[in-house]
Amino acid sequence: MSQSSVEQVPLTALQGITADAWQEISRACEEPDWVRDLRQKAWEAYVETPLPTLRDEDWRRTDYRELQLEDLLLYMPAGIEAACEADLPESLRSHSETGDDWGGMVVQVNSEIALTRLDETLQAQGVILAPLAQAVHTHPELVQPHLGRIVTPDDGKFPALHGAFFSGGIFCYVPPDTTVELPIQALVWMNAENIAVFPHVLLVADRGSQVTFVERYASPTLEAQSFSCPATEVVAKDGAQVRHVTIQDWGRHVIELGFQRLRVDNDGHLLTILAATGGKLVKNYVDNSFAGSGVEAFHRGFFFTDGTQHMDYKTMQDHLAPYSTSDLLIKGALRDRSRAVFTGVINVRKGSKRTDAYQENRNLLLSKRARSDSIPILEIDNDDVRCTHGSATGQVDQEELFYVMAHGLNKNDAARMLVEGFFSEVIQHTPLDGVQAQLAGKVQEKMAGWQVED
Amino acid sequence: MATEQPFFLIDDLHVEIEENEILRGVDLSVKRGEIHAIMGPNGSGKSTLAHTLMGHPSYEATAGQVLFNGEDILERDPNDRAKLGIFLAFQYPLAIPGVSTLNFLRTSLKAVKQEEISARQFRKHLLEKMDLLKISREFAGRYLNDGFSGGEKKRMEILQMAVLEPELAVLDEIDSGLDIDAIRAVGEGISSLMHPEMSIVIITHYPRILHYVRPDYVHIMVDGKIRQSGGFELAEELEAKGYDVLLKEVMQTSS
Ligand SMILES: Nc1ncnc2c1ncn2[C@@H]1O[C@H](COP(=O)(O)OP(=O)(O)O)[C@@H](O)[C@H]1O
Ligand SMILES: [Mg+2]
Repeated sequence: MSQSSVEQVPLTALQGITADAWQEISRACEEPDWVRDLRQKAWEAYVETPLPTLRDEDWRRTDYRELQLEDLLLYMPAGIEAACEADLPESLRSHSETGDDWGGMVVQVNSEIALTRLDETLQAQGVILAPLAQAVHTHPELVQPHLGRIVTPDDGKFPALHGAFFSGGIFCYVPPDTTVELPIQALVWMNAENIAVFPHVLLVADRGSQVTFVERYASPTLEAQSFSCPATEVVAKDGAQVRHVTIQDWGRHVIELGFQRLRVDNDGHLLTILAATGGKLVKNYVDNSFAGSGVEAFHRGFFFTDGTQHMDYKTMQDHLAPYSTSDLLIKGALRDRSRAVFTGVINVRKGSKRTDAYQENRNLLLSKRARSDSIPILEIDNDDVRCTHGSATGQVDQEELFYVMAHGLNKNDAARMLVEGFFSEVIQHTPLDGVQAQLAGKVQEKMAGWQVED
Repeated sequence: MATEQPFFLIDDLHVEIEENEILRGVDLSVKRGEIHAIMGPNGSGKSTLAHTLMGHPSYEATAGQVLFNGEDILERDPNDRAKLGIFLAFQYPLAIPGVSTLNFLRTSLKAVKQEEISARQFRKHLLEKMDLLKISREFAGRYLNDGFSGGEKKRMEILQMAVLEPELAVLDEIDSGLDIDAIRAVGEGISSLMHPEMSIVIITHYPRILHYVRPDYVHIMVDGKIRQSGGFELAEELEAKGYDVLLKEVMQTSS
């Protein structure tokens, strides 16, 4: 009844953050009730949660007031139909094709999935790779226990917004004791301006399984603003080994406010790589939640800002159970007048005895006008734990520079070598050779035209 | 021979660090094929001289000149000096995390020689030198000096010299922190690389390494100046008497 009384707005003209707007998305996707209920709850949380402001501790260094959310289109079709990767536009493939052999590939363009491909061998293993909108119908028993439950509307204003408005979406499931040899890539591509996208990734690695999953966010650089409000939910069940790579390579017109949470159960192994080089203004939460005991987690990441880019990453090593180890190193470099904020939280909850957590952040200021903040936060509600952190921010070391120059390299080349080496320490842990080379190339690209300052 | 212009000449070199004069008129003349040892107590200015020769920006030459093949190099950048054929083995080699020894040296050789060298060709060149110096090939893939022991770092400096084939090698306390066997290995490595077209200035506090890298001339530096020069026998005299006694004698004769 109420549906017919509302004047029908085409999806492509949706604008303004209203209940009607998300309901329209839900209706168009013919979602089951339980998904609609998730959106409803998220919407309620969104309405109740005040917009974060510079007065909030978490947001006082990141001013996103330039975001014109009300002016953006909330749903943009892909406009691309691809039966296989070769059908995808060259600009997109220049990101997704790394020289690695991909066992599966999902491409979301704007608000819709444009391609899903999964190798037959992986299909035969029972691996599922599907658009989320489809998986909620075909595999509710696998999706429902996790969707919106790892990243929840309670995680903040923007996770709540995401929960109401998500569209497109990628679901990946690896059955118990299954080793997926070839990596899987999820690419979110945005090729329009004045739009907002709400991409969702849900990866469930069941007991004892092994998988390598790469999430990539990329776009060309356009004139007007676009907004990305993604959420990633990863579940590594007991004994699962997950290698997860996130590459944020948005065009320079993109504002992103995102949230990622990876939950690891008993004896799970997690390797994460974060590579952030894109966007105009980016704030992301990267939350690692060690729900089980005996977890081993190894995190490496880097960000590289230039121009007037602003990046804000907050990582969390949340130890909820005993006997787990986590080791995190994030490196950053800042050029020109860019700005970066890194907050690293280690949280050892009550009862998480014998936790061994390490966190380090090292930043290189490549310009006197760049500014970086590094904020370690240790919340330890336990005695029997080992928790260490380190943080250092500085310029290219003059003695190292002299050492390299004494070996024949001019000042700029010497400095470049040092910066590349700085990042290489992180990039070398990336599980795929092609991606590794691509990230090294990205660093070189970011260095272009840079001159070492005296 | 006497009329031949020395290919490396330091003439009345004065050097300041943060407006403190450290070198107070150093003179040294080196011909091709010669090995010169500069000895002296800690703090006498040996490393200051080495850094100045390579062009470290913190060291300001306030007077004098340094001629290499007749050209004053004091205004040159460190990389230009490397290209001219000057090599400095650092007393405290730096680690370059993220850059493998192989990549570092290949980039360095390309820059110094100003020519392309294929990865394969370079690898062969490097492994040959490693074998010659009895350095495990495994070091080629490791990040340069990252986590290396003191002795390993010193041997890497010699490996660099072997790869870059300089005309003039300045070795700053290449023996410090090494045990007896390592000193021997490093010393023999250096002398195996020596040839009549190159020259070595070996800076050391202790005479021991000079038994393997036998210098033609020995100079004693005290307080920023070379106070006495002689042949190998001066090193032997120092070994017998120690710095205290010898320096007293040296200072008496020079005053
Ligand atoms: N970077 C520097 N800044 C300030 N003083 C220095 C620096 N390097 C050397 N010096 C000073 O110069 C003097 C000579 O030092 P150095 O050349 O290292 O001697 P040596 O190598 O013979 O032991 C010492 O008094 C030392 O303290
Ligand atoms: Mg010294």
